[in-house]
Amino acid sequence: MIFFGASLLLILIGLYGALVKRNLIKIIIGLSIMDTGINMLIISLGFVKGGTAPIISLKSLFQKNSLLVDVSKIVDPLPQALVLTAIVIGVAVTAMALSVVIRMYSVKKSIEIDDFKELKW
Amino acid sequence: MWYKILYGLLVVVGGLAYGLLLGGISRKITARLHGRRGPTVFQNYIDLIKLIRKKTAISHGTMFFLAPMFRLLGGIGVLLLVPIVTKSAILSNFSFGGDLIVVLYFMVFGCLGMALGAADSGHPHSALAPTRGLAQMAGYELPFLISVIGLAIAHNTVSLGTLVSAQQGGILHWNLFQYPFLSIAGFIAMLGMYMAYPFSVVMAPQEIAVGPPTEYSSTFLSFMFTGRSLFGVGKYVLFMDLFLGGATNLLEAFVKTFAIFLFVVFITGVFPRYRTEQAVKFFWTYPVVIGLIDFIRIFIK
Amino acid sequence: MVNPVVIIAITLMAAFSIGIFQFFGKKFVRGVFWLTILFDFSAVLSIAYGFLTGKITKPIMVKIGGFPPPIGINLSVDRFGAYLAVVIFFIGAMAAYHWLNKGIDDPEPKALVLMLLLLLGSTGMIFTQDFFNLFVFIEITSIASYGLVASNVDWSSLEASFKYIVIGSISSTFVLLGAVLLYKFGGSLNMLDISSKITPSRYGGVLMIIAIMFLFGLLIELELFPMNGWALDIYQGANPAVVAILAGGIVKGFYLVFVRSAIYLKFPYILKIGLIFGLTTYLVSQFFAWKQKDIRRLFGYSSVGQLGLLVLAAGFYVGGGLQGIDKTYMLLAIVFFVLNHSFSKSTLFFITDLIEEKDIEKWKGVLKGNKLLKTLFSTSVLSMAGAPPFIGFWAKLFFVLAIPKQYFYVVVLVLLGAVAEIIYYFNLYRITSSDSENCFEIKGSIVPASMNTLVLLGLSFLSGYYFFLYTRISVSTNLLIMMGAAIIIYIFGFSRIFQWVLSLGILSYALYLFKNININLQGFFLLFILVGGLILVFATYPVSKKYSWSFYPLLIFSVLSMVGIALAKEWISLFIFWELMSWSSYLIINQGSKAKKASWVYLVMSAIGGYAMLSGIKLLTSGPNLVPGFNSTAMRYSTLSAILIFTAFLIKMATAPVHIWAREAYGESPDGFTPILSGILSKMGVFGAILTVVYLLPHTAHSSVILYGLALFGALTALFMALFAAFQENVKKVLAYSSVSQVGYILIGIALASSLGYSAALYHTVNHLIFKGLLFVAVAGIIYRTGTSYLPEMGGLIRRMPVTFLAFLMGIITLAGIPPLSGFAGKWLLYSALLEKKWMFILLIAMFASIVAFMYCYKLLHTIFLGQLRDKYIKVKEVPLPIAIVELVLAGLTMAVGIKPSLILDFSDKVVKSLGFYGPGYAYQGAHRIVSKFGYWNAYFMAVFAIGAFIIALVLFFLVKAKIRKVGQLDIGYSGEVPDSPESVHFGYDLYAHMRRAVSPFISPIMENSYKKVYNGIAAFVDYARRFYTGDLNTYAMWVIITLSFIFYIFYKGVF
Repeated sequence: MIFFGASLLLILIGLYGALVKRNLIKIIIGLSIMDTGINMLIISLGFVKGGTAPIISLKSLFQKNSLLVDVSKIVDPLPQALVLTAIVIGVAVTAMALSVVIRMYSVKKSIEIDDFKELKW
Repeated sequence: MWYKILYGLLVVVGGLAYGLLLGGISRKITARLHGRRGPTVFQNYIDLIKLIRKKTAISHGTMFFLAPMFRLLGGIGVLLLVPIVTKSAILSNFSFGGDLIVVLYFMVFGCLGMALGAADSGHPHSALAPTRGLAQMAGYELPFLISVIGLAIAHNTVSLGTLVSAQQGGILHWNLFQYPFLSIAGFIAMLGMYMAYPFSVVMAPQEIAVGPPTEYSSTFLSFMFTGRSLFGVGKYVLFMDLFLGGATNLLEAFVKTFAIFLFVVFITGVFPRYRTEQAVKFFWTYPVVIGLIDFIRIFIK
Repeated sequence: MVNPVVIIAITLMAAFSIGIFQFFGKKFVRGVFWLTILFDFSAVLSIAYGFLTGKITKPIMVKIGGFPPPIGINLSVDRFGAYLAVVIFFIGAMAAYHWLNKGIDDPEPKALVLMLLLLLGSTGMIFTQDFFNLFVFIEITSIASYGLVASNVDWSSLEASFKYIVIGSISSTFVLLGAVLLYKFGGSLNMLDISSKITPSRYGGVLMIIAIMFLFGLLIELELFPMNGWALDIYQGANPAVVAILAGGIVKGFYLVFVRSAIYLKFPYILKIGLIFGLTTYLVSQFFAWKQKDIRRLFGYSSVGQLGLLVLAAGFYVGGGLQGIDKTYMLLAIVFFVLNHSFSKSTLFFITDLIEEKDIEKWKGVLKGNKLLKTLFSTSVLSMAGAPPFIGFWAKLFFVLAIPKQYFYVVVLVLLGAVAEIIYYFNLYRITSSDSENCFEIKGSIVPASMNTLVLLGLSFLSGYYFFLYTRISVSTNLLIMMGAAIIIYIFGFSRIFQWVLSLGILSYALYLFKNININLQGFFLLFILVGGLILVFATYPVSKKYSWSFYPLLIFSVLSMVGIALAKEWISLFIFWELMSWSSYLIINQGSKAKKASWVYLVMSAIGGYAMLSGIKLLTSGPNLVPGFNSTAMRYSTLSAILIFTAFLIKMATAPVHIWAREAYGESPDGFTPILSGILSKMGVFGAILTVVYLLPHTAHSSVILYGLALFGALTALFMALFAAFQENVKKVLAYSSVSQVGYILIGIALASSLGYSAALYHTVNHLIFKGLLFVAVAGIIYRTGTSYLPEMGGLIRRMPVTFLAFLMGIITLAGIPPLSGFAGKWLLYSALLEKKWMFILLIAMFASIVAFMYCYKLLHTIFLGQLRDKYIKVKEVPLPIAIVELVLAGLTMAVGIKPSLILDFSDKVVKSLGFYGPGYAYQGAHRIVSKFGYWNAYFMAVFAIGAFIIALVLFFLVKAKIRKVGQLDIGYSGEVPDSPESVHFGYDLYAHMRRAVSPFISPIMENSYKKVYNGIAAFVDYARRFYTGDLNTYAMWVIITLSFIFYIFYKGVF
């Protein structure tokens, strides 16, 4: 639950950054924080307190009385897989955003939003 | 059929004589009202003969040439379409069951011809007159139409003959007394139609020579002149049929048309002149309001 | 058939191997790129072809890695996915071709990688069956788009890209959140699996929040108002090739995903979403575009509006309770909308790149030079604006037909938006088609735009075919074939005389085909159109050289669509041909050199009328009877629908409150077309009006009030237009007002709804064709010879054009209704009809109007033909032969009909009988005598009488026998002088100055000004309101959050 709350908080903080900050870099940072929040949320969805990794080890196979792992104790592996993908995507977006900002800076020598309001109405 | 044409010719000749005479009388009366001696009442006959006897006629073009014919045609047409004396073989003319609307439109024919001829003369003043005339026409036709439509609806007919017979049986059956407001509107409109004095800016002898006929002379002018006289008589008869109960014999017709004629002449004699737009505005206000009183009465009935 | 996974895999491989291949050189990379695209395209095409022919019936399911769903990820290619993929790859290929041809500024291989990724991502997005996988593909697509958007020379593209990145990230955050929460609470990521676990009754609480979040993420990508500022910035700032593929393909992918997710999630409020966001987006964008100066942003607004409409359609399709045929219609509407938008809009974006001008005002005259460019641009714009026979029209029609009747307000609002769309699109068209000195060079290849347009034309043909197939509307194949023949005329654009002969041939053939037609209302108008069309088209040849090569095809098209109107058996087919007529006539009017503004007004008014008619027809439909015939029994709404339908006809007739288009459109339209516009086309309004009054208006007490009101409109039209005509100084504008005034009489006749009234209306309809056709044709000839239509510059032409003068004079006499020509009988019939009904005030106004009309009649004759002939016209010749022939034919007709009105009345009698209106009080004896209960009218007698009187006058004249001496034109009594020049004594300007002083309060253009005020008011408002898009990233992001809060709020409050 605490993960859940914390990740929501992170998302909101990130959102706040994207909504309010006037600096392009800060907006990207906001987006990254938001990403992190989501990733944490995904992880927390599969989290089981005191659970084990969802790995059927060779050792456990040979132990007679515990051929299978306690299913209720397994942490859901899927969210973890998803998070990996999400992280990669997040990085890609951040990289893309930063490269755009670099080119924007090279044009106007500024990274303030107020200098980038040509397209409007 | 053929004798009808003969009768028609008779009416035209008679109408012409009468019309010229009325013109002469009018000039005389006006002169007397102005304190002049004035020409003789037969002056118009003399003028006509003089014009006919001219040796050459100047023409400005085809339409100029045709216009007097149109004018004459209009005059003859109107005179022959209105029943002078109802139920008379000769003098009921070519009137027929739906003649009221026809007369209204046929009246334009002569005017149109004259206007076109005037325009073809190439003289700006003669073209100016028709535009004034048409504007003024748009003025006086409104009260006139009010009275005509009012009468048509009231008597359920568009035939002048029926209209006349509906007014028989005593002076009080005349539309003049049955529908006094319509009649007033109609007679005021008539003043405009005759271009009688407050509304005489169309011809406006002082400013623009003599209006449409500026360039006309000799034979052409004589035709215009004849057409105009016939037209005048036709219209007197029309008004007689509309408001004064028509005529059952020739004498009655003479008396009544002469009465209308005198009405026009006396008003002509004493009034100054309106400008075109003043005339139009006048026609669209007082006579219309007066006419509408009866019009609405008929509408409600 | 190719396994869909292979498509994705190959594309992915190709995309990343380009990084290596670039060392082999540019050509190699391009080769790989094109091979991949070709492979992908043919693969999806083969699948789509399978679906289309029915070889594949079920969606193709592919398991990845051999795991069955829900454990493994799987792809599924269904019918629409396959079709959409074809569109995406096609547009993608075109965009790539365009871009490569223009030259990519950034390193080319990188752009190609991004392009491939974009196509791959969107294809995967369409195919995938897994929510998380969907997220991944969305991200691939988005990242590729970010990159592509940023890659433009114009640095503003960077700004657009950055805005897109931020908003896109927020959007994908919601999608991801939704996906994982779905996994948590739905227990699966597989769409089908989740779908089977959800029931609408489970909605509420968490599931609702999750579904909203997920769909909301997609809604952001769908550019819905108020969170679409970034999208507009992309349209404005990014490379047009990129925008073409984004707007034409990728967004459609998002749309499909949205619709599919909504279906799988069984989201119950999809219609509400459509009604709130879709409709708002649609309306807001259509209005915001009005004052847009940047052409790409303008197209952007249009795209956004189309997406709004699509979301609305999806709402109805998924959640509108549509069933059976309605559902099919809506589906077809969606498919057609998507196809229309993809192909038209991408073409338009290509063209913006070919011209390389952003400011709309600089597009002035773009279309003047290049025939092909003009065709491409016009086709796309017409299809976008919903002009028949293009696909956009059928889409709109299906959409309107499918909407349930209780949502009538949606129909009205959508059609309102459509009018707004026409307003700005054709404002643009007005600018592009106007004359200009500007020289334009086409920078780039025109191939992609042409290919797109070719596909669009094919699709238009198909969609029209499907429309008739599904609605089972009967349409004459002969007619369609002849319309097709118009294209042949189009091809023969190089030879004007050939076009002319072909046009006449088609019309004669049509006349031959329909020669045995039954004379009822339809038959009467059919003959009227064809005979009149034949006569008037005959006269067009000399003047046609001034106009574009598309003059004759459009002319034939408009005449044949009038035939279609007359042949229509249902309201809906009448509407289709009505629109065809309006649009083709618009395009013709637009060819007049000064007619750009005028034709725009005409089009907008026509559109208002046409869409009013459509909404009226919509009210008539009920249940399975989607295409009501004329005789369908009057329903609850029929008074309202009668009024709505009537609006269209009133506008085409240009009667009093909606007359504002008439003067300029008549005045500035091509001289060859004006006679047809006035004589025939405006009469289609008459046809429709009779149809409406007879079949739709229930004959009850309050309908008589409506009819009286109509008659009053007609009478006031007749009066005021006649008055206005007197003050015009342009000959065609005088005649324009005159036409409108005459149509006013016809309207009175219709409103009388009696046998006399209809006879008067029909008689006058034909009569008006005769004399107004004559006058306009003569004027066309005069303008052709003198080169001016300004009355004060003419004068004295009787000396040069005696034949024309004679014909013109007869036309004027007929117009004025002076016996003995044919005009009087019409007046007589009408007045008798009015007397019969005792409509005194109408009668008064009508008669008075005809008196007022004398003013302009005289003005025309005088200023053109009489007075002084100018020196510069001394050598002017008589009008060209075809025109002279037509003049004489029509003059002969007016004489013949004047003597023998039965030439027309025989026909109109049959019509009146077939309408069931042959009441007492009107009889018609012999060939010349018409009898009403007020009297009778004998045309023959009158003719003989008039001719006789004329002969008497002539004989008298020759008896007098004076010598006639002809003098020169300047030889006038002029205060003892001879005037210097004809100009100095010609009285030709402002003839009725005195009258104007009398009526000045009445002749100020009150209606025109109030229309202008309303238009300017709206325009100023939307110009201000579009500042909503501040261009500020934070604001854009804020609106996203506000919208989300708003959605949650209304769900929380239970407003739905």
